[in-house]
Amino acid sequence: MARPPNKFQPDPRYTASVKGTILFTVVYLTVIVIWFVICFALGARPVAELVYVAGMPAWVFWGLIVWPLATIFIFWLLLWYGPPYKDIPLDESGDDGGELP
Amino acid sequence: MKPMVLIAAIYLVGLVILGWYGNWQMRSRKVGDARSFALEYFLGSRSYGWFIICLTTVATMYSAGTFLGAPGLAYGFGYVWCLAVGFQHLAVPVLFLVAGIKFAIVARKNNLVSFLDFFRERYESNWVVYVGGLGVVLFLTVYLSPQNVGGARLFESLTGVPYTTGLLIFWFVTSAYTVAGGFRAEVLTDVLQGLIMVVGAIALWLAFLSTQNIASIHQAIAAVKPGNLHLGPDALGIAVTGLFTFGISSLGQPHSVVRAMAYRRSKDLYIASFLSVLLVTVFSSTFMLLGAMSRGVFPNLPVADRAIPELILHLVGPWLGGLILIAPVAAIMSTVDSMLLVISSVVAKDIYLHHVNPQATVKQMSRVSMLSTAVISIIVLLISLKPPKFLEFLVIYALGGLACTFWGPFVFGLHWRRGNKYGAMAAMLCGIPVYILMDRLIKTGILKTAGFGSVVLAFPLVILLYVVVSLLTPPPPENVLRKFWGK
Repeated sequence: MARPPNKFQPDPRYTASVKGTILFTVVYLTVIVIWFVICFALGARPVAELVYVAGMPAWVFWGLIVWPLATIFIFWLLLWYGPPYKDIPLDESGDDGGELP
Repeated sequence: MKPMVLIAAIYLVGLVILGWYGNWQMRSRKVGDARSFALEYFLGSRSYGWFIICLTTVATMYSAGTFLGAPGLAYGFGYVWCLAVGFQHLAVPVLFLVAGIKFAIVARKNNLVSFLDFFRERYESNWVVYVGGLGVVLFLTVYLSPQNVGGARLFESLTGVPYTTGLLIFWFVTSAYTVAGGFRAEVLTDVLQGLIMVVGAIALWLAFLSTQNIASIHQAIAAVKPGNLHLGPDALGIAVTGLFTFGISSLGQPHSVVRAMAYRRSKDLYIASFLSVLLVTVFSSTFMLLGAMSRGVFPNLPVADRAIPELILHLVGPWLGGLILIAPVAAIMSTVDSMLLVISSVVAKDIYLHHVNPQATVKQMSRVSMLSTAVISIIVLLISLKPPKFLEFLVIYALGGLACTFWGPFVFGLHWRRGNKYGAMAAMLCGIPVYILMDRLIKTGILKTAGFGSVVLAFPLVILLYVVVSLLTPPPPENVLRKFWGK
């Protein structure tokens, strides 16, 4: 099994990429839980007991606020927060990735 | 002449011009062999920056459902559908960041061009490719026909041209630029279409807020159909089904997945992910909310899909309305063109170049690529001539079938070393039957699921099958490990 001269070596670029995948998955699940909790806490009740905000059912209003907030958060996460979302060269030669032209 | 006819004509001419420009771009690039031609025709040689890759992905992933079908459901059954469809806000980052930079690296390293190339290289099994290819061709063709029908219906209602004529015009323009320019033309037209979608949504919001009173609209809904305002007993099922259908299924859809390997630098992916959330939040929320609210404006529409078009014409009149209504037409076209190209990549790249004629010249390859795109679009036209009744349910059906087939083998194949061809084969063979079986069991009432769709049951089942079968059979050979994880 072990072949010392030509041993398998993992590509470090994948490690960075997988970290990004895991982090995003956590963020995604969190957003979904928040969205579910808001909608069901305020919306799963008889129509007569619904609360209204700005003329619309409160659960719709507060539920929808989640998305602009998520947008801002994702902006911060991907473009400001940095690691693990850093510039990773896509080509082995590196001529297409990495530096900005 | 009706304003809408003029606007539609200008738009269609614009698309044809962009198609020719894409064709010119494609021909002006010198390609050495048939493989490079395939890379150029089906993937635009992976040369796109964040702006274009974002708009093309958004335009591709959001289709007639977003503009007509889903708002129609919100009109018919209420805000619960806003909850269910809400998951599509993050669908592009789900696709881009879960497949991740890794997919782009692997694609370059192994020279992946078509969606099936991934499966060929990762699983090294012809049967996996055959079954996958069959799934792509079958299910995308099914998905394409309601898209075409939606486009034609829109044309009919907007311009007054008869249904069949509308279908032919819609079909012809879309096919023409896709055949001529391949991915280049598709992406250029997607950018135009994506911009129209976003601008249309913003214009509609402004018009709506300046003329309507939200509180009185809700009083009207409470009087006509109070159940639309709250979350009923089926809500959890509908919402979870939406999470699967609109939220994460993009990772199993070939026409979306190929976009995750067409960008140029890793930074493009991050910027495009963010921008997509911004754009989708604008137009998805718009159309879903307005779909639900239009119940208070028009209490009794005969066809729910007409909610948004009626609202637009009611709010802003024919000229501006025509401009906004081009948005759903654009959304449909941008989905149709990308699917056409994915199906034809199976035929031209995976069947012709790989099995029939590996020594093909550039000229042969270009002829076969364009010809197969044209033939497939003719087949789709023939299927589309008989329109189905309720748009969105058919769309949900095809999307679920695709997602069930490819999600596990794609996502796990990319990130899980132990996954092997037996697991992939099991998932692909059972994905579609399990999905259809669940669908039948639920629709015939044998299985009581309280609103949960078949996709919610079939999806985890198929993934479980992939994992279990992979673990029970030998691990993938070392060279796969090298190709997908090694240096």
